[in-house]
Amino acid sequence: MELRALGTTATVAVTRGAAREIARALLRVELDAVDRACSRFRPDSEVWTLAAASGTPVRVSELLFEALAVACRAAHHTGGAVDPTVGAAVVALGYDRDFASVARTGPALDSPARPAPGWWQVALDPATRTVRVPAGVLLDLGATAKALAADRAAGVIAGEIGGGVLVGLGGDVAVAGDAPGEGWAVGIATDAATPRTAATRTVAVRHGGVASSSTAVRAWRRGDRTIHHIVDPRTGEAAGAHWRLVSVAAASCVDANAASTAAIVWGPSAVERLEALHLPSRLVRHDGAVVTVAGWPAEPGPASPLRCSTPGDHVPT
Amino acid sequence: MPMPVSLSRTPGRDPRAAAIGRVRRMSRWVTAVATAGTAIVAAAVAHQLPGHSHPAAAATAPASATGGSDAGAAPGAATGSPPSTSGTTTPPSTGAAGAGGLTPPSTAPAPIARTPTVVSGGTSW
Repeated sequence: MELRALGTTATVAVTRGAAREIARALLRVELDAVDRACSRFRPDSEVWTLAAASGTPVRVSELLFEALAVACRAAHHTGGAVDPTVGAAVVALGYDRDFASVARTGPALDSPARPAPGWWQVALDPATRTVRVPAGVLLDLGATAKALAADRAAGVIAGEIGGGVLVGLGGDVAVAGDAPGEGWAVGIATDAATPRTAATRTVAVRHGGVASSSTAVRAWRRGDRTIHHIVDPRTGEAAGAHWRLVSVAAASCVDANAASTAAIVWGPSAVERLEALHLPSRLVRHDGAVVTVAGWPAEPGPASPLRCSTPGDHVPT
Repeated sequence: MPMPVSLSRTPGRDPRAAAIGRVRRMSRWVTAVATAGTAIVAAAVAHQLPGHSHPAAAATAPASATGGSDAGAAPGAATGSPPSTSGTTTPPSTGAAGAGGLTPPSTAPAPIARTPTVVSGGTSW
C-alpha cells in the first residue's frame, strides 16, 4: 500500500492484512507530523520558525526535539559526516526547494561553497525542551528525519495493530514487530523509484532498518558541473562521488541512514569504517564494482577476500 | 538571556496526538465490530451444527478476525520501538566517529529470491 509523502513514495506493509487501512491512516498521521515539524520546504514548519528565531532559545514540540537529537547523535557518531547544519550549503548548491521544483540545469554557481557551521552549535536542553540555533545557521534534517519517520511509523503501527510492519520512505526502510517467516524482502536499486520487479538485489530483513544513499539520483547541473544532494559538511560541496550507491542495515533505520549517508562522504575509507562498526553494507562504485561488508550477502560470482565483485553487477543506469 | 519562544501548539491540543487518537478509536471500533461479527457467525454455525461446535473455537475467533496474514507470518505481539535519543549535544572530539554509536542489526540481511515488498535506493527529502 503506497501514498505520497515527504517528497517521495511511502509504503506500508503489514502481516495482519485486515488492519491495512488502519496502518495506512497511522502512517499518514506520522508523516504529516514529521513534515510539519521538520520540512525545510514548508514556511509553516517548526524548523523554519526555528531558523527565524535568530539564536533565541525556542521551546519546540517533542517530535522536533527528538528529530534534532537524532540528527545531532548521527553527526556525533559519524564524526560530523552527517551534519544537520548543512542547510545553507545545500541551498547554495541550488537545492533550495522541493526537489520536484529544482531546475535540472542552470548557469554556473556564482557563490562560494558554504561549509557547515557544525552540529555542535545546535544547543538542545532536554529539561526545558528548548533549542537554540545560532543566527544564520540553517538546518537540513533531510538525512535523518525521513529515517526517523520510518522508525516511528513502524513502531507506532506495530504497537497499535500487532503483527509485523514494514514502512518504506523512498530509500529508508524500517520494520517492527514479528516479521514474516522468511523476513521482509527489501529490494536494492540505485533509485528508490525503481519498480520492485527491477531491483538489482533483494535481501530478507527481520529487524531494524535498511537505508540506501546514492549520488546518482537527486542530481542537477549548474554550468558544467553535476551536483548531487549529499553534501560534505567540511567543504559545503557535493560529496565526492566515489560510491554510486551505499546500502546499510542497522538496528534502526536512523542508524542505517546515518551510516549510508556518511559512507558517501567518507569515500574509499567507508569500507573499513563500516566493517569496524559491524554494519552489514553493500557499496557500489561508479564503475559497477560491488563491495559487501560485515555480513551483507555476497554478490553472486567470483569474489575477492573483501567480497569485491568485478564489474558486471548490473546496476541500473 | 532571552526568553524561550514556544513553537508548540496549545498543550493538549496537539494535532498529531488528536489524529492518532482518532485512528485508535477507529481501530477499536473495527476490532470490536470484527470480534462481534465473528462471534455472531461462530454462534450461528454452532447453532446450525449442534454437536460439532467447540467453545474454544469461539474463544479464539477474535484473534483470527484480525490475525489474517497477507505475507505468511504468524501473528504475534508487536515489539516496535522508536529509537532513543540522547537529547544533548557535545563538542566534537577529534573528528573520529563516536565509538559504537551506530548499532548493527541483531541479524544481518539474508539472501532471498522473491519480489521485494519495497525498494531501498537513493532518494532525499
